[in-house]
Amino acid sequence: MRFLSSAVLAAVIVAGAVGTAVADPGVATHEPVVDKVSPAIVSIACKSPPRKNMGEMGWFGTGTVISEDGAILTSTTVVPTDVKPDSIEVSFARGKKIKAEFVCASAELEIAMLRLPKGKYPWVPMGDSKTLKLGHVVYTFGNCQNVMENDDQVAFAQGEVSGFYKISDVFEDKAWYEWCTYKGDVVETTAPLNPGVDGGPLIDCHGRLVGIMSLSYNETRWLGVAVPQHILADRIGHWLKGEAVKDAPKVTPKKPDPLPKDPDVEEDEDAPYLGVSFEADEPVIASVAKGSPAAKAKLEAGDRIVKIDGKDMKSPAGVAKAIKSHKPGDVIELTVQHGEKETTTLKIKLGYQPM
Amino acid sequence: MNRFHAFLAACALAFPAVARADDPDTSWQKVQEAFASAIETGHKSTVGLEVKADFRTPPPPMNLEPGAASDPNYTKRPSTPTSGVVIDKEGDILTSFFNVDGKVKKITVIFPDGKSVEGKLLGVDESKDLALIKVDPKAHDLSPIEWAEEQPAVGAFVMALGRSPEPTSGTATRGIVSAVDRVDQMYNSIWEQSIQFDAKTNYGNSGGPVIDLHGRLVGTVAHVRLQSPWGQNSGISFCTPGWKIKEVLADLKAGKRLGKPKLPFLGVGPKEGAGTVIIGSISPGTAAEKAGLLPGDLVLQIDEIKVKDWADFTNYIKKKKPGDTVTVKVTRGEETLDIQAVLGERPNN
Repeated sequence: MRFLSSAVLAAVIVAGAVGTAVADPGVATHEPVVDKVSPAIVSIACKSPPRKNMGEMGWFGTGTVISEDGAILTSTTVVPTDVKPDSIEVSFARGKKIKAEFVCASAELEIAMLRLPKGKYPWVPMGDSKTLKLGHVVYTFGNCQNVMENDDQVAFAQGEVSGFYKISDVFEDKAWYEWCTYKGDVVETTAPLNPGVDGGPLIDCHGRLVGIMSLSYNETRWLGVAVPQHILADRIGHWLKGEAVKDAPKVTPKKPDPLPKDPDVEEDEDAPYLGVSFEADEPVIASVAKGSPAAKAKLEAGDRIVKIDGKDMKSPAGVAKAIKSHKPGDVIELTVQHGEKETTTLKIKLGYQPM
Repeated sequence: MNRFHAFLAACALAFPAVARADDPDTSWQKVQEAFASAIETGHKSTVGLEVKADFRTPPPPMNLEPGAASDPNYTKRPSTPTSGVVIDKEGDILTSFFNVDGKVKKITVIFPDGKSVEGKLLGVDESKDLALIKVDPKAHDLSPIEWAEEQPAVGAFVMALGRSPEPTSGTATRGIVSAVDRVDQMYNSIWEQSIQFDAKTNYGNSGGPVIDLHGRLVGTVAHVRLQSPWGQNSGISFCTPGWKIKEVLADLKAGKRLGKPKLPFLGVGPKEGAGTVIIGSISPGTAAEKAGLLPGDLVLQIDEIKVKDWADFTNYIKKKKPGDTVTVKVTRGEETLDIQAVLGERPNN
């Protein structure tokens, strides 16, 4: 994540207790998972070129070593796609700062890969995020509030899998961290997520990586989410083999083809046509078709159809029925209410249903 | 082996002195299977609710001065569905009163398979933060939740289930029972005995079930409040216990609207920073003003109760009813006075 935002984030992210049991031999604790995973966690700091009237930007966060030869997986909220490659420094807890090489990044998946100098490193194996269920025990590890830089240790938190949903348009205007670019399925966890843990792993009860923590939380849930491992697996596989697969260029989605016509329904070419549509249960116009009789009569979205031919209109179905009782070319008497104003009565000549 | 035994077995592996500390695969996997299995059972009965209504802005929580602007975190509603729980084959669905507080226009019940059915509001109980919605039992297969026979003990595992933001996948957060029989009109939307628990809940959880390790109904999640007066809520929530729900279920099915009881009100505020109980303010038009209490009065006693701190004073008044008379012994200057006051009604409840 970016340095400047950490104070703001600290204030808004839900904090929680770490559920570690008493470390008594013979009593199950979370310690075995901590012992297995912590040595493979690194803190990351790097720089990117200036953006949006800001100076050169510093970034920090967490990464996980995912292979014995030192491949590190992290997030693009830690190592942005336009990172200055020679600025990347990583360190293990109680370790020296090491220069790491930039391998590849994907804004679409919100992940980046780095590589440590040649050597043998502790590493975390991949789990299978498809097997996760609500209630499963999971952990987060990382450089929470820069704890690895300041206090030489990896921060650890335990929680459960608490939800599966999509980061989608529902949340789009409420995303709290602007650098989150991933849209799609996420795994939500009650394990506390704090600034600096982004890019860190979501770990299952076997000590395996099942996701990468994202700061893409939202106002409805206020809980940490991870991009699940099964969505990342393919890309990670390519990168580990040295194939620098990048995001496909963005294509603007084509408008969906109109639904095929049901052959059993006879199209009535001679259906009368007004050219308005409704969305709710009220006879309030949602949209007016261009060039339609309604458009010519200057009807507008938001107008309420009060009466047709003197009959009170209470629903869109009632309006449709009243129109269908006519033939194209008939003139109907339509009473509309525009905003809070008084009603006006218009005479409109119905057209033919466009084909 | 049923789930309960499975969990006992899991406990035996996970908690007592079995030398498994080096093998996380054994211990936590069994525990999480117990959680997941309870959640799966409870989720069959958990539904999403989309309520279209002219919502009423709830009055400010009781810890604020009467007439204060309501806390925005308290009045907030999610843009996604809220939650409810199916309790019988007749189509009865429980939810939080907050979810239907206002002029309800349309209720859509979303089942776990994503199918939507229109629901109708039957009855409400404001002081239990409870509402009953009915769907046509023929409109969809109903999986009623099983009721927990007893109230869980403090420390028991519970899980809060919800159907927000995505009704088809749902959410589940796990915690423990932190306290039972909480009666707190200051910070809680439930004014009668409620269960306090520490599973994380969010806006879309309101009205959803709280379940035990068997997936049975312990209570329904109250109106969620993420902020406390002193800042971030530390992660506690409240639910209406099953036994309280059963008390009024027949009334709710009969379509009754049960309101909140009137609370007593004296109309005095404390003097900030005083080590003793000194009246700092008198609200105009209240019992305190009519009785002649004045700012600066040092409170010694209310009826037979010696007043040592402000809580002694307010806790005694809370137990009274509007219309009751109390005698407040105060020191004013050199004098000691016994002042009788007829308690009024707390405004804005």
